[in-house]
Amino acid sequence: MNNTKIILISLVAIILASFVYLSYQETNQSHLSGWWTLSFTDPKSDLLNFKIENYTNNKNFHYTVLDGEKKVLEKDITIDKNTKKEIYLDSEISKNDKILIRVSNETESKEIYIK
Amino acid sequence: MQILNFIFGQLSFYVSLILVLFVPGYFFALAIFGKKKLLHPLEKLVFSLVLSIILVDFLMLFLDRVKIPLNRLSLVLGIGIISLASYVVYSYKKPSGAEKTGEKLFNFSKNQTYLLVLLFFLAVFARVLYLENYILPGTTDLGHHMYWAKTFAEKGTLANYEKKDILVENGTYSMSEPENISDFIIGEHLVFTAITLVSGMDVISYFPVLVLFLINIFSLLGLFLLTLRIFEDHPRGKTIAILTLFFIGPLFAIAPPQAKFVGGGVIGNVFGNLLMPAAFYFYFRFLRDNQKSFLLSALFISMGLFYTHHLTGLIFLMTMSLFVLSYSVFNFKNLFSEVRRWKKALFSKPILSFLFFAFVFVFLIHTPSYLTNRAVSSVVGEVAKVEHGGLTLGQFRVTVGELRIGLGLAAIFLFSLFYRKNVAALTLLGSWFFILFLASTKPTWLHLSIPSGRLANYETYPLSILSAFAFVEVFSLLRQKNTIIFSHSRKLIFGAFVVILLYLTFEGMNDNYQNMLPSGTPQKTNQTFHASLYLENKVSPNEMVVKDHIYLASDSWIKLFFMRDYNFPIYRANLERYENGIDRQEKCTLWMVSSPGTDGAKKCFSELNVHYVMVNEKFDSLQFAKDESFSRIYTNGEIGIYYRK
Repeated sequence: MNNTKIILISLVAIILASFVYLSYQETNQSHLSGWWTLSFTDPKSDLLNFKIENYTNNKNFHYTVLDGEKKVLEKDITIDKNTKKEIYLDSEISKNDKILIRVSNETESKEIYIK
Repeated sequence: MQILNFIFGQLSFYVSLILVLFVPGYFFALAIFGKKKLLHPLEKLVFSLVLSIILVDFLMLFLDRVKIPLNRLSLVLGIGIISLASYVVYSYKKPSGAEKTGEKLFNFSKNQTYLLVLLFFLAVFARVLYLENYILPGTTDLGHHMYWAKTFAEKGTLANYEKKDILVENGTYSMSEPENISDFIIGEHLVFTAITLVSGMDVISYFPVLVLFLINIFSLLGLFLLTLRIFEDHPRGKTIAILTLFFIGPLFAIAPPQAKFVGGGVIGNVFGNLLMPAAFYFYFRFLRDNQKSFLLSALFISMGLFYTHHLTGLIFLMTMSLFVLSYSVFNFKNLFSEVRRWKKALFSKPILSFLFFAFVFVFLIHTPSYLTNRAVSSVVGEVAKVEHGGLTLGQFRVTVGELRIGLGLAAIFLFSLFYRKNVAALTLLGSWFFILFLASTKPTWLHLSIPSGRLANYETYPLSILSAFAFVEVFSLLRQKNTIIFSHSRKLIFGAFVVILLYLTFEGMNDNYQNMLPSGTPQKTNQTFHASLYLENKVSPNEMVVKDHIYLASDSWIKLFFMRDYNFPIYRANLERYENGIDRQEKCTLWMVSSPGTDGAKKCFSELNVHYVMVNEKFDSLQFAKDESFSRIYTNGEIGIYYRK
């Protein structure tokens, strides 16, 4: 093989290898991991349904619903990694005051509320 | 399944990359150069990319002008037609008995070959180490640019660069009608639109950074080729070219304008650093080899440059002006024969045809936006900002590197002393260096108002060539037997060689290390994207969103989830922008995020119909938690979204 071919083939191989590596890194990085979300499913309506999306290894969650200062509901829930679960509350809660949803897992707690 | 998706995505990306960025340029080069073996395969590879970028830009501008929608079919067909037509032209060209230029020039020894491959590997390796922290797109400039690439791809047409702004009239706030933006040039975005259309990939993926990375790598190769040709007749030309690759490749591989500009999405500069040396390459070869095909390529690339980046275009124009002037002065005795040569070339059929094409294209197909809006007046004239006022010599030294400046100045001195016969090389490199030095340190002398630091970054390209020349020349002089001072001590010379090389290597590698600190934003970027996706499904067409720019990671990408307007969501800018009296005429965005409970903020929410606020929870949640009119509807630990009825 002459030197020109060595140079050209090496250039292409180095570029290709670096591209594949970086693409793979991006694919890994774009996987959601290490955090979870809490949100109202339809905040504009009177419904209080909320959703938990879990991207952590902790799958045990506990939620509490407060109507003002009053605790109206409390439950444990299991959500596997990379899955989401919607919790339907509309038929259970009568909304009079600030409704606060507090969700916690083993490491942290998050709150959302509607006034 | 995930692996299959990855493999399919990769294949689709590489096929699109080759089709968009190599095929048209390769065939076009065949048409220009015919069967003359004027370019070495390595040159063909590099200039295929350069020519393809410009051809694809022109193709898309043409398609849009004749109202053909931009989509996969029209682009693939257009590229196919250009390639086929070029091949037909090529096949009708007569075989030439011209000597194979470059055979000897590219005949590297085994050691040189391995060294080249090693330098190239190190150059790529250093960049990869940095870019793996930025491959998940999230940087501000790239987000702004990709909004336009996505807009063109979604609409199938080249929409105007415009955005809505907050208007304050008689104390009432409203959103304006779309107004022109002068910051963007169409050539910065078309290649990305083409790849997203042909491959079907979203711009929110690895591909924009990889395309910029490819262009950056090829700009190193372009500089290497330019150096090889400039020093073609020099006895140590190859060594100078290899050393140039060493200075621009593995050393200072991260600092601007290298990997930092790639990861940061500073598209114009990255493109400019490929196109400008490529144009110089062809002008230089025309001057020396007197082949019209070189002049044609040079003019074509110059034209493409003005459709790609106005700042590089301006530098190119100033450098060429000084080059023509200094070349004429230094080459005065041959001036008339030179003028005759140029006249003959300019009035030849291919060049006249090109000039006609350029005229028709500029006036009938697409006029560069800076000729029709205020972009020119914003870079030429009185200095408008502090960072446009010019660098001190100390700042210039820090930006470019003191050893490189020293070697560069030494090179110009040595050039004029020992290599005067190569007037074109001396005047081209001198002009390139001097214009950038003047524009970045004394912009008022040239009546310019451009970020001086960014201008100084361009200096690394000519300085790499000049430093390499100085280095090789000084040590070859010292090694000569008749050199009086050092004739008694070869070891001393060798020692000095090693010390300077080690110092340079240490400085360059240390610079890489200092810049390598990971930003740690991929997770935060994902959280921003997740929050944006959530909100995108909630906001109705007449509602507005305000977000924070100061503390949200990758916030410039949020608009790509909505695709409503360049300025949607409206945002709280860096605080100084509200104080300097130039950037921000309104304070609504500041009040709505910083003090949402105040009367001013309430008026803004109400009159602008803003119902959602997206902020970093660590810095900006308290003011919303205290306010009775806001509900927190989303949280991911990093970002909170508040809703105001």
